[in-house]
Amino acid sequence: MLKENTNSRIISVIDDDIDIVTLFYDALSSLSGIMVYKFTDPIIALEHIKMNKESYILILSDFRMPGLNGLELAKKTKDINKNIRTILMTAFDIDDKLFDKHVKEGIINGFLQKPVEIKALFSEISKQISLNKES
Amino acid sequence: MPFFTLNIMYIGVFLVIIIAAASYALFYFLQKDNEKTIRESVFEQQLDRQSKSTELITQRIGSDLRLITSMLKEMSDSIYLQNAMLSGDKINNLLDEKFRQLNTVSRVDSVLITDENGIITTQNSWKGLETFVNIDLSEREYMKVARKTLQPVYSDGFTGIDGIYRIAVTVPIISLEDGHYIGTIVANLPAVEFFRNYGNVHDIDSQFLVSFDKKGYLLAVGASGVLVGKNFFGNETQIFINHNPILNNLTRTLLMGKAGSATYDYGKGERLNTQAPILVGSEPVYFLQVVTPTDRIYSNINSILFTEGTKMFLLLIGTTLSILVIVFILRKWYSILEDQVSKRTAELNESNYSLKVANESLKNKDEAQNQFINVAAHELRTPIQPILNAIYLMESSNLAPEKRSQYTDIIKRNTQKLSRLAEDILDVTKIESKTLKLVIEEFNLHDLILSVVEEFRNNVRLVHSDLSVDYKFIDKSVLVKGDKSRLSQLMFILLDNAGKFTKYGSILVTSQVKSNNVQVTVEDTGSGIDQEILPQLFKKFVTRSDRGTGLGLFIAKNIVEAHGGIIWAENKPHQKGAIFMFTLPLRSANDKYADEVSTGE
Repeated sequence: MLKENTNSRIISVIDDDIDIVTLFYDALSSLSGIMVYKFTDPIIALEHIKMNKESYILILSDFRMPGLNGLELAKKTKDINKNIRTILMTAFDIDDKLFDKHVKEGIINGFLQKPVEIKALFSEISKQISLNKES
Repeated sequence: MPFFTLNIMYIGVFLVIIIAAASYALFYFLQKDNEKTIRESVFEQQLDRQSKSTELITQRIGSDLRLITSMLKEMSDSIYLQNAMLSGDKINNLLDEKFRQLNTVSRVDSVLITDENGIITTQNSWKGLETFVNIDLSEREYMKVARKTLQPVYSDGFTGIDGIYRIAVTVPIISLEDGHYIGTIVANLPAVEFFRNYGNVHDIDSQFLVSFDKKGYLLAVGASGVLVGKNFFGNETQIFINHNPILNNLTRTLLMGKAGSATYDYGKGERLNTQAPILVGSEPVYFLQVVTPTDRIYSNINSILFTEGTKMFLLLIGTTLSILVIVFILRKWYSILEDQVSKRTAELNESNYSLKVANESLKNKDEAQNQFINVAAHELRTPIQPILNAIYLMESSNLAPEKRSQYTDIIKRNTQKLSRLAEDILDVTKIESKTLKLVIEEFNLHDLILSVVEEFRNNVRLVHSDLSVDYKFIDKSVLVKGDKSRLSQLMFILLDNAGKFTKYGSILVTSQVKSNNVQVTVEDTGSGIDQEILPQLFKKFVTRSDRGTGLGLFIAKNIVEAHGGIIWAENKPHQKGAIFMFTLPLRSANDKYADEVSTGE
């Protein structure tokens, strides 16, 4: 794994479904000034985040994955660099209480309910990037 | 047992013991008291009776003495004796007759006639007794008194020449003409024999008589024959009675002519003594004591009292025992009740527990069902997303051709997945509501497996190039009767399952005919079956795969069983991976079973 230029801004898409990951990757690649990475294995993703923690601005992850679930991934990411924005996607009904809790704790910055439309994806990502810029 | 109840029980038992003890004590004292009173009353009665009887006896004795006297008097008035013919045949006959007459009243040893000087002129006596003719009796006290008073004399006791102790009734022969003293007629009576007519004079243990003469000599002594002829106040008698003051006093008063009574014990047992003088006329001639050992008095009453006492005691014991039995029964009953209560409590607890368990299981089922809905929703949403996203991206104008084809594939694949998922959920619903229908036809299972394996292999290549899928078969012709599409579904389920858990390695399908069945296996080199879910493997909503609905194996089991087969799974013993096996009955000429198979379960 290569460490990127510290000037670059990195976003990763992590989901164990290859189709979802591929499509999001293709969609997000159109963003300028941002490098997009896709992972189907959250553990490998975490390694990459560790290595490039200064460059990462955002991760977009599925909730339910084998090995490491989305919430744990978000927590660990925040431990590595609390400025990295975390967005979780889930096909389950979002439990508002749970949502509030994690958002309050600052672990999850945003939720996306599957099926996620590309438009919604962009909207949320822009919002998070601007929030990242502020911090 | 609660402390409070325990306390009450002990207090109760204690009270019962106290009451019982008190009752027994009370009973004992009352009984003794009663007995004393009864004895006293009995004694009083006896005293009364005995006093009266003593009076009567003395009167009888008195009257008998008078009778003897009148008999003798009658003789003295006879013409012969009046003419001082004091011996001779005539007199002998008279005497003889008289002697007999006298003996009807009481035993008379001899009767004799004396002249004015006290010399025996004639006598009549029992054979064997000595004759006394010509003996001078003038010095005898009674002779002196008779001669002096010219009245009948009842002598004091005297010992005859033969040693027998006697009394003599002496009647003076008085001339009816001028009242001069002619002689006497004497009847000699053995003292003891005489008094024997009126009571017991030899048995100390029964009521007995004691009789005295005026000087206090014992004429008859029931207590001891040895004392006859001895003076009451002499040493021998006094030693016999241990100088008993009460008896001495009593006897003294008797000898003064007074009737009376007393109780005393001089060492041979308590005695009740009633006494009276024997009167002839108004003067006491002899004295009588009737003596009863008091234990004789009491013996009757004693046995009655004992019986009554025993009855009461037995009653008391009976009551006590009844109480004890009741207490015992109550305690038993109590412990039985306790047992029952604890049994009931245990039963209730058990039933509670079962209810709890049932509740839990229901909750679990509900939760599981909720879980299923959640997972099902998740699974449905998952393939929808790539379809929508792919379509969206395909609408972009400058899309590269290879991208276009990639997206088309994505759409195709996910659409199929969605469709299969929908079908699974529908199948499960049908199975649950028991409306699953099989379309039965005869076909070669081998061919079906072959085509399924081929299709699966192609699908797998897209995702995992490292996974090899092989089919080993022994028989090319495996004719079965069943639902082709359902059996294909079954094979796909097993292959998909193997695929989910095997990233690298191989999946092997085998089929083999064994007697009336075909056995098909699907084994992999994957992570194997989690020990925890192995027992629940074919149940609904059980999955270790994050992408599964947990329905596949449930549906698979139902399909197999609907065809009359069995399905099972295990981990490979010496290698990594799992092996799933199922059997199906072969179609045979007489195979009725396959024809009858229609619905699932």
